[in-house]
Amino acid sequence: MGTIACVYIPAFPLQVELERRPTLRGTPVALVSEAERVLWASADAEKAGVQRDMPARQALALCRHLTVLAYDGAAYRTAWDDVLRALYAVSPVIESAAEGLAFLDVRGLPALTEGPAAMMQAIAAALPSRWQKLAHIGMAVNKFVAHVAARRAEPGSPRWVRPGDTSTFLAFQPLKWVPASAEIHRRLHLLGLNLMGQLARLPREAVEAQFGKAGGRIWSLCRGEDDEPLRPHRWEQPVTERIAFPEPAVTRDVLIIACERLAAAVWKRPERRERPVRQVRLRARLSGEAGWERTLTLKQGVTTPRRLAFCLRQVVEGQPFSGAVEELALDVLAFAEGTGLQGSLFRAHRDTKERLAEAVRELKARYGYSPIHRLVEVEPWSRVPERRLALVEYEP
Amino acid sequence: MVPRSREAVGPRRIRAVNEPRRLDMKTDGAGVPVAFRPETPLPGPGRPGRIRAGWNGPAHWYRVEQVLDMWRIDEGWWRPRPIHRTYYRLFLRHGAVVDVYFDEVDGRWYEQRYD
Repeated sequence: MGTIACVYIPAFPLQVELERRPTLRGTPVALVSEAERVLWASADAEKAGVQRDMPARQALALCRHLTVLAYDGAAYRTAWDDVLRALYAVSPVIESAAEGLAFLDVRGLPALTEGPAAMMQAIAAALPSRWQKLAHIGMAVNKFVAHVAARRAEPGSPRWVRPGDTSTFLAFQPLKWVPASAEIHRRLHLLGLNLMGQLARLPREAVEAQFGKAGGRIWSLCRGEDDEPLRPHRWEQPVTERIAFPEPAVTRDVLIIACERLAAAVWKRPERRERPVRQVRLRARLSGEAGWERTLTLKQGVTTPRRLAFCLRQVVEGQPFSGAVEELALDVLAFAEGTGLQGSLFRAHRDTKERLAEAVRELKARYGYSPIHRLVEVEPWSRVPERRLALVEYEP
Repeated sequence: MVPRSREAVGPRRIRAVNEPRRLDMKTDGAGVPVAFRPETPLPGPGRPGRIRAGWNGPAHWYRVEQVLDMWRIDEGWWRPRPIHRTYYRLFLRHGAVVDVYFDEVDGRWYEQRYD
């Protein structure tokens, strides 16, 4: 009986975009990276010759009506997290192999006692309704076969491959579905090998002689042997702070000030428990529903908010934003283990700051917000008076 | 599934300072300010000052004694909301000095300190 189930939603980022912009359905659409290369192309775009890794300019030349959208990784991750959360209702052990591809360990689950079909129906029913019509579900003895089964299945008709039928099932599946480098696939095609069964019939030594260690792995997969364990998904529980701008920010100076405030705010969160920060993610919501994010792993745990703000500043300064920033958010993804910190010699100065902090805390408790603000210079050189100064919440 | 409990409660905001405030303006034939009525009363005589509430009773029309200075700023013509303003520094009959501008984008008059 199969013990691994696979949920496969093809072109997941593209589907999220089409969900957000239903008018684009049935039209050629491409998602492009910051380097302006095509990452995903809709079926209509592919028909017009648009391919992955193609420069956006070339894609537009090939397809005049192509809609080019910026890759919004944050939005796709959020949507995928929703799917994973829904799947947790079925199985506690889930691997998120990629956005749009998840494996579930279904061994010993109650639904499985009613049979594989009931198990797969339970998985389909657990998915958020908007994904039910798009999800391909397969079940088999291991991850690879389950993935191939899912690719073969139609949405709404899950596919189960019996353990005894694995080699028969794989024999007529396209070899291009086997995970391998583009060069290996090119050579396999040149050798006239297009189906998994063709490769599985060859001696292992012959395949290894041609493709080395990777060849041995491909040969095993084509025979339905996949010993790769399921790697359970590790949930990120970031400590998040965000700033919304009253007017979309178009200058870096505003963003740098916002980064300072975010670093200071994160530092005060009790979840930090005095631990140095090791990894952060800076996210920006740009005008026009676009998004941007950058993950920053710090070599050493950062022990002061000033230092964290400095690191964030480096990121913002080197970043060409594609639009005005409406909201900036900072997620702390990982903390370092605690390190000893030298206490301050200047006790009196610290006392004043602590008293001030206490006063602000009390005001916040009374009014629900801090009525004390700090005046900061944003663009002191600007000819537009309202852009020169700004008020930010005062946090000593 | 327990919802994430570590999200921030609400967004922190950065507030702009010295934002322009609407006023009604009467001009002469050449478009130069002659008299205006702010939403709130003006400060007394002295340096250019911000119009503050509760200073001199309810707002009324102020006569312009002299236009001390005039300048223009044009910025961000490439943005969706460009800035095309003509500023006037006005000396009023009762002795106060205020800065006003005509916004050519929306065709309205505003008061705003310009140091």
